[in-house]
Formats: sequence, structure tokens, C-alpha cells
Amino acid sequence: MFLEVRNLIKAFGREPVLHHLSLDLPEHETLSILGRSGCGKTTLLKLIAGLIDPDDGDIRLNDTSINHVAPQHRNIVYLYQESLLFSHLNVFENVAFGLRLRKVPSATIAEKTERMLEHLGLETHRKKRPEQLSGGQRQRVAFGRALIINPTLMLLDEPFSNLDAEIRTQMQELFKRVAQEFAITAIFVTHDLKESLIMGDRMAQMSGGKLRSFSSKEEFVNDPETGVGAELHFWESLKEQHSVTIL
Amino acid sequence: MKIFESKLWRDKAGLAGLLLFLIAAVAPIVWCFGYAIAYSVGLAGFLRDGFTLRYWSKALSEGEIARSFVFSGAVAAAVIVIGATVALALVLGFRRELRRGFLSSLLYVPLALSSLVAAFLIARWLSGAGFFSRIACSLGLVSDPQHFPNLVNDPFGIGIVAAHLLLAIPFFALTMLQIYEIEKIGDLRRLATSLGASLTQTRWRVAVPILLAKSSTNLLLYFIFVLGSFEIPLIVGAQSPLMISLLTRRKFGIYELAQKPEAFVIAVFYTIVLLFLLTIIFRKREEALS
Amino acid sequence: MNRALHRIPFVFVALCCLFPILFLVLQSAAGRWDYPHVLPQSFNANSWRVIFSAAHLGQSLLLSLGISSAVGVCATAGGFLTSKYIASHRHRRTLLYLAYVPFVMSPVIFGVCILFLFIKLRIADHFLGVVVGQGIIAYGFAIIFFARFWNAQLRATEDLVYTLGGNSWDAFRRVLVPIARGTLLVCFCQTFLISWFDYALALILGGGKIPTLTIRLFGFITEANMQLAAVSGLFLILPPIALFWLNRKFLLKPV
Repeated sequence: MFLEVRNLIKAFGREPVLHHLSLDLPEHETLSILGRSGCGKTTLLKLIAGLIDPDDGDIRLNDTSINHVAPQHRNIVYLYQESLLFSHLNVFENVAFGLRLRKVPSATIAEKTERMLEHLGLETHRKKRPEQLSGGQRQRVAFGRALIINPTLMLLDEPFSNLDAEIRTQMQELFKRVAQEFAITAIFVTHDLKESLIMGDRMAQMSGGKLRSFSSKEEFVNDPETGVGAELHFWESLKEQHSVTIL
Repeated sequence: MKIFESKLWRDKAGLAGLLLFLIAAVAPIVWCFGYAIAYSVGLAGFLRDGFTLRYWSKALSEGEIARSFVFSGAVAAAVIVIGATVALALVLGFRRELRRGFLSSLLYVPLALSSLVAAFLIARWLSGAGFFSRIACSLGLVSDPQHFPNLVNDPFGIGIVAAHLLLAIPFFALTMLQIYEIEKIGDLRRLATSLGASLTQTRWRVAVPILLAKSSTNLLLYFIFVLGSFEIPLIVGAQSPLMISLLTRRKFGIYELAQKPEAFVIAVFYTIVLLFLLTIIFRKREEALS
Repeated sequence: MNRALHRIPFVFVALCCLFPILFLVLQSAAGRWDYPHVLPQSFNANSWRVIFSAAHLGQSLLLSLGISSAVGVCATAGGFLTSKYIASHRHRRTLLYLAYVPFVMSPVIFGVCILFLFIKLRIADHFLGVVVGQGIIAYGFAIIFFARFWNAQLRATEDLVYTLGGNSWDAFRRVLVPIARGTLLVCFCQTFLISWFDYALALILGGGKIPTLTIRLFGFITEANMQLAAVSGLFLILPPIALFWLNRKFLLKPV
């Protein structure tokens, strides 16, 4: 298993957030975690990224424990809700940022960054500042900045929740395409039921600091607690009412 | 497996920040308060001859220190009340003009005056032979400097208040202008108008309460600054009563060694008052944020 | 007519703002100015000639610039670093409260209490004593100044740099300091001015041996040398006017 999390426990002060949480993720797959606000999704991602320390438990990447590995050495990129572009850098430099940290030669940086910008449809925006971009464009730059360093794992914390519906759909499609092209391994966290089904190859649900994994999307859909059934029932009832009105 | 460096490095930077804070902020104040207490009870200084409360009882019985604190507090209160009132009038009367154009930049000019320069100017303007006395003379209101009101080096601190107001009014006005924008008071007043309020009512029931509430911590801080001011009362204050800083300096710098501990009695009192006022300020900030 | 009347208050406020500077200029060039003449009877540039020919005021100007620059740089850098630590601390409120104390304390009382320590450290009556004393007060201000700078978004940005492969130094050098550039400049200007305007600490901790511009100005005032006092006053306020003009949009955010 590529990513293994075992019995993760985390509390902030007296408030427990994660209770013996475990999950598995094979390589090149996206795990979609559905959960409401405050269920511990962000805490889980930050623990995996190494930005905070667990109280107990083990996180293993490629069979190696990474509990004591610094975040900058894990090669795990965390993408926030906000794009968090560096306001003092233009689009090109934002995307190239990770390569500059690694002291990659300038010529290689230029080539790789140009290619990434073309891939994301941002080549005409290379000299623009973040404040000159739309929300969707900013998220694409954030993607490019993460992908260019070939991360071992991507952690996406509701990255599209601030976007309007149309742009959101475009970004979902972009991520699916990019995930396939770059063979990304990712955990995608969302509170949106539809989005969780679209984005994930594997499904899980988080509630009260605990995670339930599902062996397949069918199992997820059929489980009464995920809310899919209730959602379907709502639309079906609406359809029936509509049919009655027409008659 | 790589050694876990990040947290250690992050802690190193945090450690540096903490050490710097302890050395450069906490330690000096702890030293000041501790040394002042020790000196005032005879445990430090030239006359240290063991623990004694005689300097404290002398300071408390003589009344000079109490008078100084009361006088300083009254001067500070006068500066705050008058300054805030004038600043409010400026902001509510000329807000649009103060926000843009030449006037908005001019308001920063008095901020560049130091306390010494402000005191010097007030001395040159308000003294018996000062600029305004000359204007009064040319208008036939006075015939010589002695007939001009005693506004500088006076026992009521008029010169001190005037010099502080020269600095305080532009500062308060600019702060209130910022608050007006940040709190969207203009929008709130328009909303109040739509609910039936008159212009005067929107001014007194909406603008003034919000401006005063939001600038209260700044006003309290300025009160503390005036309380401990030195340069202005040094130039335009009277020999008696003296403001706190002047009295401290006089007692500390005096040749009569027996008076030096009294300087530290003042320092201890002053620090207690300062901590009390700061606690009020912080409570207000907490209330504002919650 | 109505428009002209409407302009009177603005003219009055504008005059009030400019009058201090105009008066200083007038006083600096005033020759004979007997009572009850409203304006000087004669003008001369004697005091300006003295200022530029005599070494002492030029020396004081350079000394003050040196002291204030040192205070500004050290306080800004120290405050920036410390405020970052405080911002994420559990006892943030208490630490910020402690940072306020040196800033709001009377410089005279602070100077009187700390003088003995400075004597023991052999920095009293010395340039370094004045810098350290003013630096302590300015450092407290800088911590307070940067307190609001460190928000959740900045912390998240710093975390992002770590996940992109950067360390703490990378985060500082490549992201946090560039983002904070404008704020750092404003803080430098403000801490520079705290030192520039100070008289009490220069007097007490410098023992009168460190002739800053404020010490010189006070000397001219007590000597009743109004022309030189006015010139010194102008020297004292012109740099702050320039700094305020450059930074006006960042200034005076409510506490």
C-alpha cells in the first residue's frame, strides 16, 4: 500500500479531533473523503503533510514511517481552499517557485514552467500578478505550482469550494485530466457529495474524528449514512411532484 | 529516514524570538520595577541601609507626589477630552475634504512635530511677549506683555495642554478618519436615514458613538503618553505642580541624596497605574474582538 | 459668495496645519523682533550660516541619523521576528501585554530605573546606551505594530512553502519578507521617528554627552537663542515630514 495511516490520534487541548483513524491509499489513485465542517478533515491532511504532529499513530509512505520527517522532505504538497499564490511573484514565478527552492538550473526551470503553463492554459498570463487573475485561474496556478515538483502525494483541502458552479466544474475536469496524465496520488477532501463522487477513485467518509472507508463507489452510494440515498430520494420526489403537476 | 529538522529549525527561530523578547522587553521592565521597589525601600542605591518604609511614608505624607499624579491625570484628561472633541468636529464637519485633496496630506504635517518643537512653538506663541500677545497688542486688547493672560508656565497647565493638543488633534482626526472608513459609518448613517433618522440623529446616535468606541483604546493609550510626558512640561510647565516625569527627574537628579529614593517611589506608583490602565485597554480590545 | 464662505473653514484648518512650519521658518530668519511687532523688523540668515559653518549641529544631525537608523533597523528586525513567535503562542495576549509596557512607559521613569544597569554594563553616557535604551522602547512598539500582520493566511502561506520543499529560512527570505516589505518599511519609519524625537533617554542615558539634535534644540531654547532653536526645529521635523508623506497610506491604523 502506498499510503498507510494507522490509529492516528490528535487532540487540541482537551478537545479530541481524530480517534484512532486509519486509512489506506494505493499509488496513482485519488481518495475522496466526504465530511462536514469541523469533522477533522483539515487536521488529518495537516498530519499527513507533517505540518502538525500526531499525539499517537503511524503514517507510512511506501512502507516507511514518515512521522519524524520534516514537511519539506516528505514531498507531499498541501493545497488549500484559497490558492495562496505569492502576491509578490507573477504567474511564472509562482509556478516555478518549488523548482527554485530545489536550485534547479534556470534553463530547466524556464522549460518546465513554460510547459506546465501551456498544459494548464496559462501561457498568456505568465507575467500577470495574482490579483489580476480570476479565481479559477488562481487555482490553476496553484495546481501548476504543486505539480511541477512531481509530488509523491497531493492533499487537496476543498480547493474548489470558493469557486462558482461553472468554474468549479471546469476545475474538477481539469484535476481529473491532470491526475490521469501525471499519475497523481491524492487525497481530496470535500463536504460536497457530488464532488466527492466525481473526484475520487476510492471513497471514504469522515465524521466525529473517525473515518469509514468504502471498498467501492457502489458501497458508498448504497450506504444510508453517506446521504446519497437521501439526495436521490429528494430529486425523485421532486420529479414525481412535477409529473403530477403536469398531469 | 531523514532526521526531523523542520520542527527543530522552526523552534530555533521561535527560540530566537522568545530569547530576544525576554532579553529586550521583559527583562528591562522586570529590572526597572524590581530596582525601583528595592531603591524605594532602602535595599538598593547610595543610601541602602536595609529595608525601610520611611521614604514611602514621607512621600505619602507630604502630598507632593499625590498632587503631581492628580495634576498629570487632569492634564492628560483635558488633552483627551478637548482633543477628541475637536477631532470629532473636524471629521464630522470636513470628512470629505480631509479624505482627499491637499487637506488630507496637510493633516500629516503637525504629526512631524516633536514634543520639543511643539513646546517651543507654544512658548513662542502663547507667552506674554509671544506671537498672539503681539496680535492682541496690535488690536488694542493689551498694551504690554504683563497684561496678556498667563498661558505658559502657568499653574493650571494651560501651556502643557495647548502643546499636547497641537500634536493630539491631527493624530486623533486621522485615526477617526480611518475608523470612519473601516467601520463603514457612512453606510450605517445612510441605513439609519432609511429607518427615519435625521442628519443630526445619524451624527449623534450612529457616527459619534462608533467613533468614540472604536478610538477609545487609542485615546487611553494617548492618555498614558501624556501622563508620562517630559519635554512639554519641561519647557512650558510651571515649577509647581510638576508632572510625574518632571518630579521624578527632579528628585533623582537632586544633590540631596535622601530625595533620590522618592523618585523610585514615584516610579513604582507610576508603574502600578500604568499596568492598571493597560489592563483596561486590553479588556476593551478583548471585548471589541469577541 | 456662499462658496467663498464655505471655503473659510478649510483655509483655517490648512493654515493651522502649516502655521507651525511657517512660524519656524519665520523665526529662523528673524533678526530684530521687538515687542509688540507682529512680524520681525529685520531678517537675516545668520543662524543658517552658523548652522552650516559650525560643525556641531551638522555633527548632531549625523549622530541623530546614525542613532535613529540603528534603532529603526534593530527594532524592526527584532519586532518582526518576535511578533511572529508571539502570534502563534498560546499566551499571545499576555505576551502582547508585556510588549506594551516598555512602549507606553514614561521614558524618564524608564531611564531613571535602568540607568544603574547601564552603568554596570558600561554603556551609560555612551552612544550605545542611548541606542539600547531607545531600542527597547522601539522594539516594544515594533512587536505591537506587527501583531496584526501575522494572520491565518500568512501562516498557511508559510506552511505551503514547507510542503513545496522549503525550510524556515526559505519561507522567510523568499516569501514572508518580500510580502512584508511595505510593512517593514513603515515600521522602520515609525521606530526611526521614536528615536529621532526622543529627548529624555538621550539626556538620562547619554548623560548629556551624546549631543543628539533634540539635546541641541533644548540647549538653544534654554539659552533663549530662538533663531538657532527654530533652525534646529526645522532640521528635526523635515525628515519626518518626508517619511510621513512617503508612507501616508499605511499610517494610523486604529490599535
